[in-house]
Amino acid sequence: MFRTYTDYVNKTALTLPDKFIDVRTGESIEVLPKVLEQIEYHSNNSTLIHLVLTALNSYLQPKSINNGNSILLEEIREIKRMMQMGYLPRGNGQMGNGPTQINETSNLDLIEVEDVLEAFGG
Amino acid sequence: MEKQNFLAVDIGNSWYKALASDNGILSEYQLPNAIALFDEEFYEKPYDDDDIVLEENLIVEVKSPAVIDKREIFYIGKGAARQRDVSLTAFNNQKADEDRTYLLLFGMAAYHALLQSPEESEIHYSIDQLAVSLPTTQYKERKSRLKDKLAGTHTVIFHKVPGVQEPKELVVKLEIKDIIVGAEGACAYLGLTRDQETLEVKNEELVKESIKGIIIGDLGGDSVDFVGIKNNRPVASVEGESFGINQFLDNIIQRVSKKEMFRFDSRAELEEKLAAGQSEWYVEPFAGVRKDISKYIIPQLKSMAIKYLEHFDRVRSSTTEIKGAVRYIAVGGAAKLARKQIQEAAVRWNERGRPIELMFPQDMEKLNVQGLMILAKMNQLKKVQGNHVISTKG
Repeated sequence: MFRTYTDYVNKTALTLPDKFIDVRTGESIEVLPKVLEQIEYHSNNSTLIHLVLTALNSYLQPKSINNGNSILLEEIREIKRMMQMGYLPRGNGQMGNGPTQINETSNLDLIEVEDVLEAFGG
Repeated sequence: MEKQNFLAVDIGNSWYKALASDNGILSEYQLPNAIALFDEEFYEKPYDDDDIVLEENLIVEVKSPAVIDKREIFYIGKGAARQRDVSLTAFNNQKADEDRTYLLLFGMAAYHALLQSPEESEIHYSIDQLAVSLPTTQYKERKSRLKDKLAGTHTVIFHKVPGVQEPKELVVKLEIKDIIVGAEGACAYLGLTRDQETLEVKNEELVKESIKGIIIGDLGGDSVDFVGIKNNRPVASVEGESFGINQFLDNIIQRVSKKEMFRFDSRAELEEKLAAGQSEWYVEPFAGVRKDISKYIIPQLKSMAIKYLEHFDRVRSSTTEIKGAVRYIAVGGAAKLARKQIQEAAVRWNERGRPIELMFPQDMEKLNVQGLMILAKMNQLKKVQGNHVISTKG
């Protein structure tokens, strides 16, 4: 069974068999449903040529990072998380996890606090 | 002292600005004041969850006594701004009465909570002190109503959360323990004069000047608020005029749409362009076609600047309490965007013999929210020190 996927906008057509031969190993492999789904998505989205080129690109030029360096990925994930948290360093450059809680060490007296609260808030 | 969470939210007509402090760690957010109804039918499934930025895809359902439960789901913020049926603030937005206030405020707080504990699917987050602002016109009559509605427990359900397993939902239960409301403009003075950490006065000079009088003009989306400060406290607030940058933004959007075939998704999108500086003042209606839109922007900013100064002049001559004010301070995001035009217009006032020399402080668009954070911390301090008489911890 062959099915043809077309992207008329970019003049790309791709006819898929059920199985294909891996050009590197010579093995015969079934086309995965995931692959079909992606091809369908991209032909509908008029980006079929980009999918094909992306796939070829990563096939012909595998990234060196891909040898399972999970520690590195974990680090990156942590940095991403910190960035998403909107972490703000303090004005004086110190990171804020010291005893920054307002507490009895504040030099403000209660009268001043109450005064400000009364004047500005409610 | 045990863990404390503070949240300060400046509910502006164009942007919601928030500062959160969790045990001393600060986070900062800003969200366009935009909501849009979510419709499952039109939801475009993302190709890959990694492509989705959560901040731009906030889809919330709010269960709270503050909003009538219609089981409706909304886009809020950036995601909403891109929808076709986006609702931006209407003129004369009554913040304490409108559902959008609570959808956006709770949504934003819950988003912050979610970033604090990214691994969990049900989050309980309590806010010891929440500080919010109202325009001076709404402050006196509406603040208790706003407080009542904000207090208590609210549930926010996030839908279609990227990176979460089907049904891609996260639940955040917000508990708001105490609330303080501040007036826009007046809070900016606190932000200007007091330190975020110690809460002590950091700008002695300005406090000294306040003995003679200071007038702050806070220019926002739909309102301009004037506050007179004397002896370090607000003495006169001039009823917020319904005048702000939004009407000028709408004019620009209309003209660009008509003449250049380019439609901005929202005011927020245009405002970001304005904030980026004149080198970014172009649109691309078609790929590769760059159209300069500064000719639509500059006249609008100019006429806003002129009106802003007119308001300023009227206020300073009409308030008896601070007749001899020695300093005029411009604050607010809109004043920052039009700073150059305002300064140019001020030259003309000078020529006419009625000089208005405005001061443009640093971070002028964030002063209100910074002042609110100070209020939140002080309110907590008062509470703790009040209790301290009973408990004898040293």
